[in-house]
Amino acid sequence: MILLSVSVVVHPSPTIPYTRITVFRELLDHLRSYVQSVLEDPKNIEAVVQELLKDQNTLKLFYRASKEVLNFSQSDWLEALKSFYALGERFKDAGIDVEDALDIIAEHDTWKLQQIRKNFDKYANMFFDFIVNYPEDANRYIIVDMSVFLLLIATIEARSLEKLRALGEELNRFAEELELYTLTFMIGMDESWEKELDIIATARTPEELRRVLEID
Amino acid sequence: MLEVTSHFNKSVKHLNESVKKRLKKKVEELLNGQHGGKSLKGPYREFKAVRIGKYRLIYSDKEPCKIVLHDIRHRKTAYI
Repeated sequence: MILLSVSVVVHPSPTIPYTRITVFRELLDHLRSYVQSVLEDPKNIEAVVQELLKDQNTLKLFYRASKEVLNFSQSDWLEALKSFYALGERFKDAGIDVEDALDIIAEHDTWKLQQIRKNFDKYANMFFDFIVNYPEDANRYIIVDMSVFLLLIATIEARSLEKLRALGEELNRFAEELELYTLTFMIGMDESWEKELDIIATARTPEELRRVLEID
Repeated sequence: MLEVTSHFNKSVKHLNESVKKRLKKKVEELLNGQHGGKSLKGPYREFKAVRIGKYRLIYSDKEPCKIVLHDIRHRKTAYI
């Protein structure tokens, strides 16, 4: 979702039908005022996201855009990734490294899309249980995911290096949190995890540590 | 003291020597109480994740002076 919206703005792929691009463009038009608020004060991003989450029309467009993402082919996705990573160059010019953050976002979106396409029932059940049993964490996840999205869109609009630096710092902060959610969901979907919690080795000395980690 | 689960044991087998050495260094830091990770969410709050380059080590440290290694995962992107 994040990847595709960003890539459509940065570099519309000729392989993506115009009707699909229209949905993203419409969504981005609705987001303009929120993006402006983020650009004015990147540190205020969470308050902007809270406002956005009350905006029913924009949320409906998010839903439509998300459905479009499900139709993208592997080559559309690779094109999207290329445009997405091109954003990293803008941050480099501003002297801030967001490489890890971009990797984390790409991993999150790619993995989530894979699950929705290939393991929908299992993913939906896992996510529903997460929302019902851990509503605070679920609410925070929406804020983190949406913050990353708005920060990336704001990056495209940013005109000064100082502003890019501020956006990059926030992006790194939120990406770090996003990674914890990605890992949580990955573990939640990994059937072997619960079955393989048994302890099979211990180490008390450096030599034992080498053995346990299988270092030659 | 360090303990490892069968899940971790499986994942460590796929690592090359250089990653294993970085992993050892990170584990030593954790055992010394340095550079700890951050808690996962929801049902996995008791587990923590810490970065080793593009890998993430998942461990728990519920008991004092004891770390349990559960998993090490590489960050993946690209294919849907």
